[in-house]
Amino acid sequence: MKFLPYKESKAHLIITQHKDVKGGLIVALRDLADTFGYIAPSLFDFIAETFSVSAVEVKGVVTYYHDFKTEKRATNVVQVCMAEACYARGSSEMIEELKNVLNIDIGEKDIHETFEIEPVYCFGNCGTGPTIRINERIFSNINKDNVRAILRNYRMEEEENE
Amino acid sequence: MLNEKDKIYSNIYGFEDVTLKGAVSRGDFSDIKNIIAKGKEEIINEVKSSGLRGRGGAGFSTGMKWSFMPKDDGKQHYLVINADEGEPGTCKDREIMRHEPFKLIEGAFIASFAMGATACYIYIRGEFFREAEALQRAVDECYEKGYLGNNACGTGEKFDFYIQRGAGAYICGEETALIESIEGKKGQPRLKPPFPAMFGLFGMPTTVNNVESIAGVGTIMRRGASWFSGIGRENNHGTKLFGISGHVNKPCVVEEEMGISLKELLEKHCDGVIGGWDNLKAVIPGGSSTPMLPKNLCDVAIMDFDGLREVGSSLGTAAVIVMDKSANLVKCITRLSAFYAHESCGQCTPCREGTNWMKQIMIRIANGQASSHEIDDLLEITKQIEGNTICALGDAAAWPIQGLFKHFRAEIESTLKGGM
Repeated sequence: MKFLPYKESKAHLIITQHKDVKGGLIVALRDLADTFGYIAPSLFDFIAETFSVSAVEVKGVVTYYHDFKTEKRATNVVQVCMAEACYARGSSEMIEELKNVLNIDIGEKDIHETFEIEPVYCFGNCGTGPTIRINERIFSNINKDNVRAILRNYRMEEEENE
Repeated sequence: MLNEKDKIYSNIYGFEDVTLKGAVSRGDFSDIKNIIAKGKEEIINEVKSSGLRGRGGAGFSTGMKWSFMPKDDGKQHYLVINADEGEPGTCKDREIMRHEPFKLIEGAFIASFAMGATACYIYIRGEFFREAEALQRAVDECYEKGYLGNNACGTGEKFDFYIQRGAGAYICGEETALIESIEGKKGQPRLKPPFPAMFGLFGMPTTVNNVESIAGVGTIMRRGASWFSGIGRENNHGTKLFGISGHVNKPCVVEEEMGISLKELLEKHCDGVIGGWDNLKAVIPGGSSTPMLPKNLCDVAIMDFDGLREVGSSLGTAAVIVMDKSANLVKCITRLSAFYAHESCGQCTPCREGTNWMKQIMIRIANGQASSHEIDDLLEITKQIEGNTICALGDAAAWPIQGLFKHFRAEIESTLKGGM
C-alpha cells in the first residue's frame, strides 16, 4: 500500500518495529508515547493495519489507558500524587500552590505550553510524600517553599533552551 | 519480633551492591541446581507446605495455585508476575524490583520450572519507569552470565524473562485484565471461569502471581518449608513486607513477621504516630481498598490475614496508611471514591454507574450539603455493587465507604445539615 503517509517517518519505524511481537500493539503505543509524548490520531489507521486490528480497536486501546494522550503535551508535565498517603501529608494544598505559581488550572497549558498540571494516583513513593513528578524525575517531601525552587529551575532551563 | 537472619530481603533498602555479583554474594542463586533437580512435584509440595499465601491481597495459597496448572499437556505454559502495584499506599514491590531484582528472577525461574513454563512475563505499571529500568538491567546481566536463556543457571532448562510496561490503568492489576493488557488489548477483566490456569495468556495455561510471592520462593526452597511455616501464626506464616505511610514519624517499608500487632509495628519501625498513639484517628491497614480501622480496633489489631479479618478489615497488600486527628476522613474517602470512579473500566453496570453515584454523594457529604438519609442511600449502593461485578474493583470501591460509616457515622452525621 503505497499511499500511507508515514512510510519512512520515525513514528512509522517505531510502529513496524513491534509488528511481530506478541501483544505488540501496547508495546508500540508505549514506545510512541515515550518518544513523542502523545499518540497522534492520524497514526491510528496505520497502526491498525500493522497489527491487523480495526482502527476503532486502536482508538479504544489508546483512550483506555491514562498514559496515552492524543494531544501534544506541555514541555514539562507536573504530576501531583493525590492518593491518601500524600493527601494526608498535604498534597491538596500543594496542588493549589502549583496552580497559583504557574497560573494555570488542572488540564490547562500555559500560553507557551511550558507547564501543565496533572493529578495522578500514587507513584509508590508513599513513605516520603507529598510527591510530584516532573517529566522523568520524582521529587519527594514537597512543600510550599521547595516547590517554587524546583519550578524555577525548570523555568530557567526553558529560557536557556530558547 | 523477627530475627535479622530470618529476613528474606537482606538488601531491601539498596545499601549494598545491587548487581548480580552482590546478589550472588548474599546467597541468591546458590543451590539452584539442586532445587531444580528436586523436580516439579516436590517444589510445588514444598511451597504448599510452607504455607505461603499470595502477597497481592487475596491471600490464596501460592502452592495450591501452582498445582492447578495442567501437567504434561504439551502446551506452552506461562508465568505472569503482577508488578502493577497501583493500590494507593502500596510501595513494597517497587523496592524488590529496585534492590532485589535477582531474588525475583530466581523465584520466577523456580516457579516457572515447577509449572512447566519456559517463559515469564512481568507486567510493571507505567509509572515505575526507574523500576523497569533496574529490572531490565538485572535481566540483561542474567542473560549475559547464563542465568537466563536456553540453559538457565546451567540446569539445561530453557527460561526466558520478558518485561512489559503498563500504561496507567489501575484495573490492569486484576489478573485477567493484566493478561488482556499483555496481549495488547484494553485491560478489561475477563469472566471467570475459564480460569487463567486453563485459558490464560495467549490462550495458554497461565498463573499470575504477585512480585512478593515469587521473590520469596528461592529463599523458601533453600531454607526449607519448615523454616517459613515456623514464623507467624497458624495459617498465616512467614515474613511480609509492610509499607507504612501517612502520619507516622518515620514512614518506611519493613520486613516483619506476620502476626505482629499493629501498635508494635508502628512504634518499633516508625517511631510511632505523630503526636503519640493517642493522637491516632484511624488506620487503613492494607491499601486503599480495605476498610479503615478506628483507634479502638487499632489497639488490638494483629497484622495478618485472619487477624485483620477478625476486626472487619483485610490485610490486602499490607500497605498501612496512618491518619492522625488532623486528617479529614470524609475528604480522604471522597478522594478515594473519585479514584475508583475514574478507574472503573466500564464493563459492568453496577460498578460503572455506582462508583460515580458514590463519588457524587461523598462530595455532597464532604461539603456538608447532604442530609443523613443520603448516607443510607450510599450504603445501599455499596451493597448493590459489592459482589455483583466481574472483578473486585467494585468491592474495592464499596468497602472503604462501608468501613468509614461503620465506625464514624455518628461523627459524620453531626457535620451534616440537620434532619431528614
